[in-house]
Amino acid sequence: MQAKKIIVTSAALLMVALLLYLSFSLQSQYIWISLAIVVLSMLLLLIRFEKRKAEPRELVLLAVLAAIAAVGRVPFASIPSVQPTTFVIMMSGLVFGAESGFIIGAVAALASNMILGQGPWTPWQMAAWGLVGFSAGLLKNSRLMNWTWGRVVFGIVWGFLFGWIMNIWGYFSFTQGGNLFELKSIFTYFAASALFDAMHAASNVFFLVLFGKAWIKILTRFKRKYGLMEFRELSSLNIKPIHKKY
Amino acid sequence: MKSRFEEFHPLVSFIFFVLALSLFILMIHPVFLLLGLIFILMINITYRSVEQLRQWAAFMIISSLFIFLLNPLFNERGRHVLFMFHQHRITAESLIYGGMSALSLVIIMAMFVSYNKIMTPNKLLYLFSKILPQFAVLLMLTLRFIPLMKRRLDEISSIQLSKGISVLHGALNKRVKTGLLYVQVLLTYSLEEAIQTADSMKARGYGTRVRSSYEYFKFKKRDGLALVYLLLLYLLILWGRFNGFGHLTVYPIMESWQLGTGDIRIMLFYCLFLGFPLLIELGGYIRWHILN
Repeated sequence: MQAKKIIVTSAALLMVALLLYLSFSLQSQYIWISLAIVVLSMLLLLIRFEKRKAEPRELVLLAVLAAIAAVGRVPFASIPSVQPTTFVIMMSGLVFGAESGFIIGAVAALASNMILGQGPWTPWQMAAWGLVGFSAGLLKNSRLMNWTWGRVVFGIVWGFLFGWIMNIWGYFSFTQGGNLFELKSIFTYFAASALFDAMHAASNVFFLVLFGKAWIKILTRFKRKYGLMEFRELSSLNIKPIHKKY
Repeated sequence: MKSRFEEFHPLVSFIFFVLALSLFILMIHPVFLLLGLIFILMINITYRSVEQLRQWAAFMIISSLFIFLLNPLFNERGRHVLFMFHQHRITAESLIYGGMSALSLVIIMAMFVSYNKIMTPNKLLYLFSKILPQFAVLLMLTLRFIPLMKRRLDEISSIQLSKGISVLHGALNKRVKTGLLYVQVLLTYSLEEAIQTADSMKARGYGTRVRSSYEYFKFKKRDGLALVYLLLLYLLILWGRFNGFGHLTVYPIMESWQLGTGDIRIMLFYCLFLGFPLLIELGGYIRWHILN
């Protein structure tokens, strides 16, 4: 066990060192180095998830939410560039916390790409949707997220941020190794995607205004009814459980 | 029928694709890229994924043209000015660089087509289950739920349709609202059902011991040999690359594109590496048709 720990730690350190070395020696290959950083940082959270032995109920719940996030596109097939995936992940993170939110977002992206076909964009999508859930979970107790219009602002920000994260990968692959970091070309590229990002943000707002409260209620009720993720969350926050009577 | 390369252990095919990907990024040289393209096309033909390749063709051609044309427009570096375009220097270097980037992107996309054909979700899950077992279970559950939920959504929409509610008719905001209402019904429906799945998992002893699983893939001797072959060649290529072979320096001064002896040696290793699946199939063919 001790030996395994040493091997794993040294392998991780070696990977980081290699990455640092490569980012100095191969400066023109920034797209691949950025991809490696994305993958390694996600690995960190995945290993953390691995360490914690999850109850079957938690696992199934995470899988159901990830599957709903992935399948949620189906009813919207006839309406272009409207999809509830971001909304579903946001709500899950908000109720079940940052770690669960990240896992749900990453798994939803990975699973839907397993069906639609993988590509170099898979890690970026995993990271982008994972971060949607993660940030929603981090802010779950903040005043912003307990206020409908605060959540709307959050939805707008992520509508654009999601597009920008995907743009970085797109931009890098268009200019790969060309060392042409020019603000002009970056702006052109980002402007081209602005319409799609605005649609994404608008559909987030639409869903949050109409369904946000209902979804939080459904998920919270479910969480309380079956006592899901309760223990971990309370122990980490060091708060005694409150038993409300209904 | 499965080909021989597909029957290798998932680790071998995965490592082949990952290392091949890194080669297409590192070996930016017209001759190497053209060879890479030929090999990837041959691999796609061997594994019958030409049809999928054709579906991607339009996207590949458009994006590579885009790179090829945009690079000279945004980049004025280089000494050989070909012509002026609206007070903009179009240099030979930038055209060559754009062309090579475009080619590299096309090869990578074509490689992912054959990757998706050979690395089936089944194999990827197997690899995940070795490194991240709990994550693999979660992924497997999700993959199992996706078709189930599609079926449930069909049920929900036909029930709603009988009440006159549909996503296909009416104003846009009404349709979007109906769409998410379906998803909401799916949510409450599936959450309750999920508890039953979880409890039956628990009743069958999930989490009490180390999870056993049916080992579909066995790591055989030939898998080990294949890994040694691939890694050895890869290290040789990498060593050559860091000594400046197999790479065309464009900026600040463009090298001659002709290959030296060092380049040719590295090129040979490169071909042996990328030709691995083809060599395997060829070996199988010879054994079956000639030695039989």
